[in-house]
Amino acid sequence: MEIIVIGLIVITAIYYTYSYIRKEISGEGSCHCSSCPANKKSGCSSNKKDESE
Amino acid sequence: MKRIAVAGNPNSGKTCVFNNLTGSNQRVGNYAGVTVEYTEGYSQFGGEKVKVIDLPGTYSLTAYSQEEVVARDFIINEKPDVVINVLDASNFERNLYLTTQLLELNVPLVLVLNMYDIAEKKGIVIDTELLGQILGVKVVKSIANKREGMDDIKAACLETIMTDLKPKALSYPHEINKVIPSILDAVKAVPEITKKYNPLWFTIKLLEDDDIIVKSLKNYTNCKEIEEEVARAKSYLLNHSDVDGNTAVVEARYAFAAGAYREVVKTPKEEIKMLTNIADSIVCHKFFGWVILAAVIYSMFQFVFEISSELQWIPVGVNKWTSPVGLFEMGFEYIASFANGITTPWLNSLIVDGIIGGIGGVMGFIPLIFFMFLFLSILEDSGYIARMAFVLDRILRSFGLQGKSILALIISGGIPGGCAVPGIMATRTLREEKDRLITILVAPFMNCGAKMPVYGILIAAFFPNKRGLMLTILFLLSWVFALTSAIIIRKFIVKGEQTPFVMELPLYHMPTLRGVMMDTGNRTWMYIKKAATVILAINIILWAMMYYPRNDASIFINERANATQNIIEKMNKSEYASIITKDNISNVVEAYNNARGDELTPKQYKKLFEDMNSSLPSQAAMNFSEYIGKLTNLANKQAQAQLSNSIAGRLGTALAPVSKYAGFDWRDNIALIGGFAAKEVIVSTLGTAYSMGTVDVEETTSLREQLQKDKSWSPLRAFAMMIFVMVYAPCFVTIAAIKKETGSWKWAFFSMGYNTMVGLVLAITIYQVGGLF
Repeated sequence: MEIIVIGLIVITAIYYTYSYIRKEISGEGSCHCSSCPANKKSGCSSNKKDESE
Repeated sequence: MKRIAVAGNPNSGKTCVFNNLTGSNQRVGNYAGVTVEYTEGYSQFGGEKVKVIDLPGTYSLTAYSQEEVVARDFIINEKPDVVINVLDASNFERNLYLTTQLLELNVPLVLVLNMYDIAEKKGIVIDTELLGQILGVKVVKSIANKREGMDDIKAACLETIMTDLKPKALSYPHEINKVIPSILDAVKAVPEITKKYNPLWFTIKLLEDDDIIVKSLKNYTNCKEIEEEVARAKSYLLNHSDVDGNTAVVEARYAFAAGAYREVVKTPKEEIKMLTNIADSIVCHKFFGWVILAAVIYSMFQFVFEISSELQWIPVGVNKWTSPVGLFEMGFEYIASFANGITTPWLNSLIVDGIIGGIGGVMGFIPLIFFMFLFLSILEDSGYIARMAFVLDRILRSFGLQGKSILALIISGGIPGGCAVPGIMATRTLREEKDRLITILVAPFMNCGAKMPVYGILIAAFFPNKRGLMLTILFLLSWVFALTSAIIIRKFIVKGEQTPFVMELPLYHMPTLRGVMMDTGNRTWMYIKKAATVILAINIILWAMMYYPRNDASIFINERANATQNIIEKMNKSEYASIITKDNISNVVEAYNNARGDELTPKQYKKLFEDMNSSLPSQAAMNFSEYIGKLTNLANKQAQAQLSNSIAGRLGTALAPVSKYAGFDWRDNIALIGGFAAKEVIVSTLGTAYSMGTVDVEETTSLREQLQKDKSWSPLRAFAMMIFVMVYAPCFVTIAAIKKETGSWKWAFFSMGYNTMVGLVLAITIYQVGGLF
């Protein structure tokens, strides 16, 4: 039971990390926006918000 | 849907106009080169939804740099309904140069004279009506940072669209007018060109020797004829005006801009010496510039540490005060006290060690990060960062880097708190490929925001009285390492000459409270979000690698049983045997063992024996204390053995034969491997490793305190660690950015290997040489 639960948690964490890195590599990520004066990428969450509005 | 593009010189307030129009919160930097790619947003213009596109800031629309190409390609290919040209009204004449090129494109144009308040303070009064008549466009005044003039811009755009208003053609000098028709005719004869480009613009670009346009000629039929006409025109210009085509066109634009300026600008008070000029004479001074720069950086770090962790200004009870960092530590200790009640061993370890011990360390730096970004936002908005770049630029020249490289390096963390990824992207503004490559390779040496928690924890633990000074030293060292590396790379790896650059110094602005708080809030929120998501995920993976495989605990169980037997025998033989019965002690020990199985936590010791200790005679209490001490040591040994035998532990131990020369043990190695994913992970992994590998009767949850107590740590080891973290391989995302920007994995792997080698050499040197004193 312990192994199954931890296994699921770790797989989720690996998947999340993988998605994060993939998103950043593709240029859609926004992790670096916090310190990015060139924060003008169309993938920025703030833009997506505008679009959804 | 109508599309409105926003174009303008860097630092003209273009992004601020875009933000106001779209309600977006894109960051606005008060220095050149902020926008590298374009951004889209949405807005309502007269009840109609329109798409607004923020183009990169450019001084012209030639093909010299990528942002210029991006901007002009958008206008040519996407054909926006209106282009809003934002001009810095206080630098009106210079900004008009880009306007002349937009006029050449013959796109519907609205001129926005931004920062009009500053222009007025300078004594510049612009006759907007006359300017509109001369250029055939709508002209609007605005003060974007105060949100003034936005409705006028929208109205002007709508009117331009409704009336299909096209700007007047730019008038060129006689010589150019003479050569244009023959080329124009040849161009017009090629339908593929006229379909895509404005023929007159294409003609001017050919005359100007625009790289991209000249090369594109090869794609068209009849290109030979056009080439011949262009060659004839150039030869004519050379013979009659003694200038080449490019110079003739550029001069014509400047002449037009100067003429328009003279026409529309009334009574400029040229003798007014602006505050900016006076301030710049001091701030950018050869000697005082450096003194002020060092003072500002030192003050920033001192302020950040004082207000976030030294000064106790937050009330936490009657006459009880704490610092913001202290408040966070208290919060995590409080949460940990609840989590300690979880009896399932793995769940307890996951929550207490993996999540609270790990993420708590990163989250504890929220106040420090907040105040650092607050200070930086004020500096940026005021215009000082551009001066900082100017001062640093002088020294860059001697290191094989210069000009726009400085902006990329500052964005990367040259002023702590940046990020190498946008810094590397910002190198697109560099014209020379070699300059660009060198800048990309040294950008990761800068102190990005993710390295700050590592510095913060080690400085707080080992240099508590020299916090500001230590961070200032680290700031200076990052520049020294980056610039020295630039020399080495230019000399041995990427050989090439330097290119010149003129740096623009914007006027000083009074930062607005709204702007500063919005910027600080956004950046802090991004830090929190990152810690609570991807850092947490990575830490859970690393926790599992530190938790498994589980060791055989039988040796420790036997040793504990022996210790218990000893105390029981000791007690029975003592004169207190009548008071403390065998059953009495056994019951307590058994209760303990039942409660925790083979998992030992200090809280349990204290709780189970505290009551007995207080009621015991002193000798018996001492015996109990010894017993507790022995069990604690055993628990520590067991935890260490478990951790060192785990997957991560074995990995860390495998690197220890090399890393030990830099003073790093296997726990540091695990943390540093985790740092490849993101540098904040170093702190969270150290937190988890120390939480899992240490059993402390006092139950310390703060990583800082744990490091201070660990006898293997010293200020020297901490310093070597900080230097290694500053220099060694960049995180995955930066590696990917290097690959993307250089187009080759070769340079991405080079960066990983080179930086790690340099980091290791530096850390070993510091640790070994420092150990001699």
